[in-house]
Amino acid sequence: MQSEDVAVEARLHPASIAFWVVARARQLIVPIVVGGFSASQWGLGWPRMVAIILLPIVLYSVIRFLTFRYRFEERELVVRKGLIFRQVRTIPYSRIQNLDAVQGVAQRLFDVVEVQLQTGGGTEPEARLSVIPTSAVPELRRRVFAGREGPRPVGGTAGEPGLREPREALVATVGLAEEHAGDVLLHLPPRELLIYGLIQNKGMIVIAAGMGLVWELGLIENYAVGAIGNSEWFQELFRDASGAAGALAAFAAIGLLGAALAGLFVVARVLSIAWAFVRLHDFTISRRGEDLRTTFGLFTRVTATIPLHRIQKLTVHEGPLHRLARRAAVRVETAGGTKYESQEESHRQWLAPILRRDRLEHFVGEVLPELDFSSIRWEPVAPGATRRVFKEGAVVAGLVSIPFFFLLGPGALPIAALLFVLAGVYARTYVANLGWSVTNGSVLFKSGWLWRRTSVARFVKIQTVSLRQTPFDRRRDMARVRVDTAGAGAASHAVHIPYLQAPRAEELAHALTAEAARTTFHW
Amino acid sequence: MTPGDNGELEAAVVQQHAGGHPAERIDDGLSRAPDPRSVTVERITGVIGTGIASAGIVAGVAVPALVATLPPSIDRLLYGLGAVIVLALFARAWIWPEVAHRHKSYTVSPASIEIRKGVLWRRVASVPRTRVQHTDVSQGPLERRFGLGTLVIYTAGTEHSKVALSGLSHGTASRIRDHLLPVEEGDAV
Repeated sequence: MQSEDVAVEARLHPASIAFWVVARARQLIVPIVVGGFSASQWGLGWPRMVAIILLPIVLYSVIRFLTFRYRFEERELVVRKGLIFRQVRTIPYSRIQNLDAVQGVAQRLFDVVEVQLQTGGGTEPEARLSVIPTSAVPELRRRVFAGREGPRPVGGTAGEPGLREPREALVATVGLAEEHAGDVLLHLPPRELLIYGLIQNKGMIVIAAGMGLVWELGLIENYAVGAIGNSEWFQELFRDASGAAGALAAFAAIGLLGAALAGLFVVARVLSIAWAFVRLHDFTISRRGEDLRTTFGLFTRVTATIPLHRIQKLTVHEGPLHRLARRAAVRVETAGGTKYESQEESHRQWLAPILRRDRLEHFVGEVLPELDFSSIRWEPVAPGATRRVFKEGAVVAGLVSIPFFFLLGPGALPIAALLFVLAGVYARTYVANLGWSVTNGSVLFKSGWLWRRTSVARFVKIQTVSLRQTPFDRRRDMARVRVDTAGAGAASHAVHIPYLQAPRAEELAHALTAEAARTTFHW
Repeated sequence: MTPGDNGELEAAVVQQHAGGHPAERIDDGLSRAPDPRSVTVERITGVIGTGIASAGIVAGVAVPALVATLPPSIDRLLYGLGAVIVLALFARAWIWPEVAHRHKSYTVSPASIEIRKGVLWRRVASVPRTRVQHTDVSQGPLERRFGLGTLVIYTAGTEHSKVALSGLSHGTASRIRDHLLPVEEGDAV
């Protein structure tokens, strides 16, 4: 509730006008100089030209100064700004993670600071007070942190469990690491790295780049034509086979090409394995209290700490090669570092680059302790989904077969038929492998037939829940449910459940929202 | 109007409700439509935007027509096409806001807020109260003229880091914002 008496509104320090003008002018330095030179040609004085450019900037800054207000309510900071487009921003103290006071040389001259307030997880400060007198800062800090009612070691005050001062959290983590030796969750000996290198194709990226470069320079044409044309062996082959052998020469050429590609493939995998050996040498994850500590690397030894509570979403990857080797990979998205911690604010990383399939559940169980794998019941999507996916696949099949019809005429019919059958098979397997589940305080979603991916988002990490219907969804009374988490990659697998029956989807969305509402979110 | 007036207006609205006047609760879990005046605002904005776009189209059509000497049939075709496009855009700017408004609603419950919008592609965004990081209530000049405002809810999410609800009356926007403020941390667990 708002307090009855309206809190006092404060303005910024008048010097902010000067700082804004300088900041803007610095951005426009090139146009100013250029404008000045061309203006001198038109007979306007150079100083006058600069003044013309600066005038709107100064005017804008003065108006901004006059319309910017901030005040301290009982539990929020309220910032008002704008004249034509007005904005009132309300930031609860309890959401403020960072308070930075920045003071450069110029600010020191005027005895002012720029205060930046962050609510965590973003790049831009949510509130920027530029500039206020230095004397106002202690009062500001007092209000903000008192308003947060953090767990200070002051006798008698009931602190909230779990709400931590960012710096305190950092210190605690470091202290723990020194004292305890953790349990090793995963260690990758060279054999595992070998398998990893074979499955991933890091080498292909290098090769693809190299190929692109070579193509650009036209080397392939010159070299290949020269080599094949001039090689004795090939010429002999040609002479011997000249009678019957347009086809034979063609086969030889294809054979050569095939061999070359195979060679490329092998080289790519070898590079990939080499990369794995260097980058992931002696990969170890151990759990120390509430954190995971990973170390890896041959030349550059990296030690990373991942606090368990920072994990927003976990995804298990199983590609076809993974399944062949009875392995899997685990990736996590973390978010919420403050600037003081060395990690980036949000991060997507491989928690387990490769992992034996039979150790997967134990591993994930260590990272997400509440999740009990044996109690996961996968729910299917709506029955009509197979028909819809088949229709989409059929369209693609139709489009793909068009060029074949041009080439082969009616002879392309078997190809088209094959493509349609493939579309049907794809639809059936894809939909059969879609599944979702709400278990033990998390929502899970799996998808994919060749490339199986399973994502887990705990209720405490759910940010918003959304429900969408495309026009096609509406025709079939279906909907898709999406769970949003912090620090999610744009293209990464997420709990985005398609082809649900609309009433079921609404039910699920409400349930997830209610579960998220029941829990407090802490970075 | 001085730039300070907003504050007094907000305080007055809040005090009225705090004083126990028989005003309806905002968080009653009932679905509400945005303010109908927002249709007018959208129309005006649309017409202005279309006006600018049409100027561009006219220039795009008229200039080649004047510069190149084309047979009169093609000339007429170009002008006709341009006119049709411009008329279509204006019609859309006039009709669409009403249609979109019919499919736009919001529901404030004690624990969350749900915002629905979209005519062909329908979207429902639910934000639990405990996930609201901070909020903006903003007004453009047109909105101010009609007493409307836009509420923007910021979350820690990625896809929905900002959830906007426009076309509210300014008082309603402020009331919802107040409702979304966090209570004592202990209550939420």
